[in-house]
Amino acid sequence: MINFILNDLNISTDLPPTIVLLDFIRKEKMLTGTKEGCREGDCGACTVLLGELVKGTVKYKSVNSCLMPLGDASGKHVVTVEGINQKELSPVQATMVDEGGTQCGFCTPGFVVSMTGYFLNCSNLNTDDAIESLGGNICRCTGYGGIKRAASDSISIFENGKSDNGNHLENLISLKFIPDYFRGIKKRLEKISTNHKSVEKKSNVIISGGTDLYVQRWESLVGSKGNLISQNKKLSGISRIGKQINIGSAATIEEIKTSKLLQKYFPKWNNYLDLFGSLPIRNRATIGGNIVNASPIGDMVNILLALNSTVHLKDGKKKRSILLKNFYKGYKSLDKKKNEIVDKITFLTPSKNSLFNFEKISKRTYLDIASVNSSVYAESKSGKISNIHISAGGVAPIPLYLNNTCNYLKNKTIDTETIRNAAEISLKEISPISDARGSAEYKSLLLRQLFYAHFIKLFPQLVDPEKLL
Amino acid sequence: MKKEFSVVGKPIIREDGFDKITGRAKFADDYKFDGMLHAVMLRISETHAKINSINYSEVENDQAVNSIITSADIPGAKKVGMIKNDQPIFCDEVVVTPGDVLAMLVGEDTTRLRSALSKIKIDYTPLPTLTDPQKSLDPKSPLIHPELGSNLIIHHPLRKGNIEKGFTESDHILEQTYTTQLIEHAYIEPEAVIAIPLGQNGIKIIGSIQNPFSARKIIAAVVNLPLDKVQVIQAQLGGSFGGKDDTMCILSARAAVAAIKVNRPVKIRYTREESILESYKRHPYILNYKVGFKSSGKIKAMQIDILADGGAYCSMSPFVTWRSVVQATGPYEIENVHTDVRAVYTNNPYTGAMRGFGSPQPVFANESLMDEIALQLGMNPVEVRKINGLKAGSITATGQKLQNHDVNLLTVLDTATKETDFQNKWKKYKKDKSIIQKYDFNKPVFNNSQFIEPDQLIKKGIGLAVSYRGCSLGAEGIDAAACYLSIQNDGTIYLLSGLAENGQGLRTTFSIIVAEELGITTDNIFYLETDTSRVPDSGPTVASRATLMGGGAVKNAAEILRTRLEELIRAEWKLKAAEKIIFKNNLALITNHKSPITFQDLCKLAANRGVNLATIGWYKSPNVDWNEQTGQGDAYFTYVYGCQVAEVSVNQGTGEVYLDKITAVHDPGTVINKLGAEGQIYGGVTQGAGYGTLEEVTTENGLIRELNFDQYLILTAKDIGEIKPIIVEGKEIYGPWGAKSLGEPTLELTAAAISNAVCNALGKRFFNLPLNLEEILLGKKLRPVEVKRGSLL
Ligand SMILES: Cc1cc2nc3c(=O)[nH]c(=O)nc-3n(C[C@H](O)[C@H](O)[C@H](O)COP(=O)(O)OP(=O)(O)OC[C@H]3O[C@@H](n4cnc5c(N)ncnc54)[C@H](O)[C@@H]3O)c2cc1C
Ligand code: FES
Ligand code: FES
Repeated sequence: MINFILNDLNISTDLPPTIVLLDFIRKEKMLTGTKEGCREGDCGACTVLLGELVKGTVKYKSVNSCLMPLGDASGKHVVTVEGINQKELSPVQATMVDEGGTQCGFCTPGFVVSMTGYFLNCSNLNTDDAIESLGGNICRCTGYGGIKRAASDSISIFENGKSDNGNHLENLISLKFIPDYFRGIKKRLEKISTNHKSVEKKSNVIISGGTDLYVQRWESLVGSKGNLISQNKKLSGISRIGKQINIGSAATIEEIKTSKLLQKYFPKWNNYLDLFGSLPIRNRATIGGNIVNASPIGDMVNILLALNSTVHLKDGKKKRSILLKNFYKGYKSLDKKKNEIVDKITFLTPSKNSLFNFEKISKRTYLDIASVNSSVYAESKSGKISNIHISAGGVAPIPLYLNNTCNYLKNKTIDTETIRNAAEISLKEISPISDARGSAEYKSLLLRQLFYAHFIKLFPQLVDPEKLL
Repeated sequence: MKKEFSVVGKPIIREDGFDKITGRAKFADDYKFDGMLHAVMLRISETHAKINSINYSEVENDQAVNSIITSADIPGAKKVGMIKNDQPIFCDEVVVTPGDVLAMLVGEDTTRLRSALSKIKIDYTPLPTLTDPQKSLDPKSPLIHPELGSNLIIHHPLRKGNIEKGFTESDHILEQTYTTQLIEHAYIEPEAVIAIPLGQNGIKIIGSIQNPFSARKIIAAVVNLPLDKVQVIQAQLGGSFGGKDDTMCILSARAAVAAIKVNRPVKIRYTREESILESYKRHPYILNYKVGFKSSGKIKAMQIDILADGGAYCSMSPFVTWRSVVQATGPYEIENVHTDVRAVYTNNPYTGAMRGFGSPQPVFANESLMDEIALQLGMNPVEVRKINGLKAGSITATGQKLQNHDVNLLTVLDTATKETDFQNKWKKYKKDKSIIQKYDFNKPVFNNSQFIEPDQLIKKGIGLAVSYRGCSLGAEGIDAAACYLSIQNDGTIYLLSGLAENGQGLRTTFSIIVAEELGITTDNIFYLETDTSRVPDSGPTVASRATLMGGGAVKNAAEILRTRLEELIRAEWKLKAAEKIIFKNNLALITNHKSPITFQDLCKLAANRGVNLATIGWYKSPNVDWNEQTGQGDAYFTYVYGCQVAEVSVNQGTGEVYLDKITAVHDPGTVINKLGAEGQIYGGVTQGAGYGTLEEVTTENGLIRELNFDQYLILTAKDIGEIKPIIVEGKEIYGPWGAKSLGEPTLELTAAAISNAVCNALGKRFFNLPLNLEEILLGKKLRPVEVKRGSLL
């Protein structure tokens, strides 16, 4: 039995946990406000909110219901547009209509849900962040003009209407952003959570966020016994133990992006991960999935390679560790046995004299997989490199660690000449294939460009851009 | 003097806004009926193949399969088409493009039906394929439809003046070739339709159908029923942009055949992949331009040769390319013009109507060309357009004299360039040196002088494009529209147009027209669901003709009823002829009369006096004429004008183009629905910008690579910068209060303006759309092999 709350309704279902939430909502519950436009996380028409008890409050996040296994709704509050509707339009809805934020209306419920999610999540409101939260919703009709104005109008309504001593949820309820049944959700979830039994099943098919698996294989997953691991507390969390950072394999990209710990070590961390998918994708996508999916252009993998991370695998009681750079054997082939699951990823905290940079180029700046990406981690003293790790994605069948290039640079002092030579070496290490994200020729060119960009950004005094090459 | 409006041009919110914003609006896939079955399509992954036999024995006893639907089940026409009947409902003899459907399986569970599909054994022989339109007319190439004897779909010639003389008189001659790409409509709602058998009463269809009347005609032909036995209802349409016409007619016909056979409702609902695979797209064009001009900038002659890839079926190609032949020179007065536009068959995905309809392609070419002329003469883009631009009384390429409306080309140009400080910016950006000019295409690496700091790699550019556009269908067809209007005893109103709401806000526009005419507010008007059994055929909702034609019919209906109400008042109060009646603020005001009468009371009175307050309004376009041989005539009865300015930042290191701001100035005549009009500009510009920078359907031997939104990329909210709409309301004698069209002009200019802006930034011209990373960086399109995102493990 999977128990959860759908809008204002308690749900108990024994449908397979591997069917996608979207099908449950539309086909079983006939809540047709949630739409299906792509079934692969790229349009946002299926966006719903997922509320979860975190330290005594309910935290909401937007997710793509087309890629989420029903089982992961267990113990949660799922909100569709019907669960936002009240007698009168909410400010988000009213401003969307007034500003011309809806034309054909097919994308509209998705936008309403995402924008409402933004208000639920955040009390420090600004239009840019609100638009950022809509990055996973596409609209073909409106050109987003009316939608952007609606976001800013709604923020004004909230700011002008909120009472300063009321808590955020109460403010949202009194301003009709959400119906008042939201007030009781926390108590109801507390009851459900204690009752709910784990839906995990022993199975070879490990499903984490599902943002890779359901894209290609949803039909074969339906009805299969998937091992849903994304809610497994043992696999979650981001922590520092001594000099080591540990990231549980089920940590989501959004958790990693917003982690204060990681932001402390990497000042531009948030900006790097802004380029990963969209907010609803990041809310589900996990680090473990990114590693095991073995896509040559995975962004998280690319960063982790340059941090010289270690992958910790376990199979029941059996455990072993392997350096991430040694984990990939060939295109989508890993040094991992069928029953092994990724437990966590670790890397050493960056040393004081270290620098880090991540670069990604994609056809569409946002919500797109990289054409080429690259990361560098370098420890140096007055320009002399003592330790360096560089990764390159999209230029080989696997996420690539640039071994020869790193070896070449070790113990060298950075100057224009050295970087030029290093770039030459890197281009010999790669074997780009032409794929949907660009031709081989173009990718070599991009990598070189990104390679230079790293060093110009990190060592501006030592590398003379004008003299490079 | 300008008329004072009460509702027209005011920001009135959408009539259907409430349903849409709450998710209550019902789209086709949201309908479910008792006993409803689903149908899935049988296809082969071949571009051109002869089908020898199909063996269904493995699925005949499959529990999941209720019925197998083949062409043998079709009671009527087996081939259909908008213009030529060349498209089979089921392609069980020959497949001419990968989207072709051979047969269908019908059952309860689509997942199980899909796995049953793989058990059907198809014996076929692959045939030689034709995917290069330039080889279509080569006698050695295979014929796509052998019975037609040629791969030529249509040839539109246009001859004006003496082209040789024009070139002789020119000081300069410039020849350029441009190409544009195949693109997808990318409506977010995939196709869906349900057919419900009604026994003796025929069949009812509910679907995501753009043109219920075209669908009715085709369904009736296929199921062999008279028109009155086929009722087509348009569900809320989740975007169309011209794309839910042919495909939806055929899907509806298939669903109807199945529903009649199994005698249960049957639904077809496409996945995104099927939608992109089977639906028609925008024509890719190859455009050759030769232009002769004086040193003064005056164009003397233009010779144009355009080849459009129509793909496997004719669809709307003849009409799409007809608009191209009319507008190919751009909005310029040129004495000597010689144009040939041809559309040809290939095995590629077929192409048809799409918002813009044969104009974005030539606009990209001729507006790039105008900038080239300017650069060659050391002028700026504004000057050369002013010298040649159409003015009142100008003669167009088709020999038509522009009159009866404000020819506002130069007005929109001036407005846009002043607003953006165009000329200063253009000069400034042009001066800043760019590294890409020195770029060596054979050695795609930067040398030292080319490499600079990443932030400095960003260069700014500004560019503009102008266009004129004929309104409505023009000489393409008979142009008339109807509307049903009925006032109830309490003053509430039913309104229904024969044109369809496709998301563009037509219902709101029409409600505003009725409200204005009767002096009431829009909230008392109830818009009925589009249904072929309730209102006369009004032709297709295409060519941005809804406001002009449909609006004209609505105004006509409202005028008829207002006149009846006036007559009633005159009779009742025995008014003199000189006494005037004004309908305003829900009242009928009578000059010299003390107390006005409310609209509600007036309607009650009309009911008591037996006045008929229901009518059909009608609007027929003024006549146009056309000579097929010379391409001369009054192609359209009126035109609209637009100018867009694009401001971009280009990363020379990576080829990324950032769209900073687009200023769109349009003259759509009188604006009826202000919010709707601005919405059209935002939406059209964003689509046009996608066309210019990202969007492309590529094929490998006819097979589409970009089958979902992971690879077919449209702009997100974060990718498009500011859009500034500016509307200039020109005078016009036709249409409701002089309202014309806006939907398509907004889209046709943007790619051209962006391309000119990128050229301003980099000092290098691009001839092939879209301006994606590789085009900018390498100057050529490189075709990738197919790789889909997602987990293979
Ligand atoms: C719209 C969209 C945009 C995207 N954008 C990006 C992007 O910008 N950058 C990027 O890198 N990726 C992107 N992705 C891909 C995807 O989101 C990531 O790869 C994500 O990290 C996968 O994580 P997941 O938890 O969803 O994986 P899942 O789909 O659950 O699993 C992926 C694979 O990993 C296996 N697996 C998962 N966890 C474990 C584990 N702990 N142990 C063993 N095996 C495991 C699964 O069995 C499966 O084979 C995008 C995807 C979508 C749909
Ligand atoms: S259906 Fe498109 S994101 Fe889920
Ligand atoms: S309103 Fe049509 S897709 Fe957004």
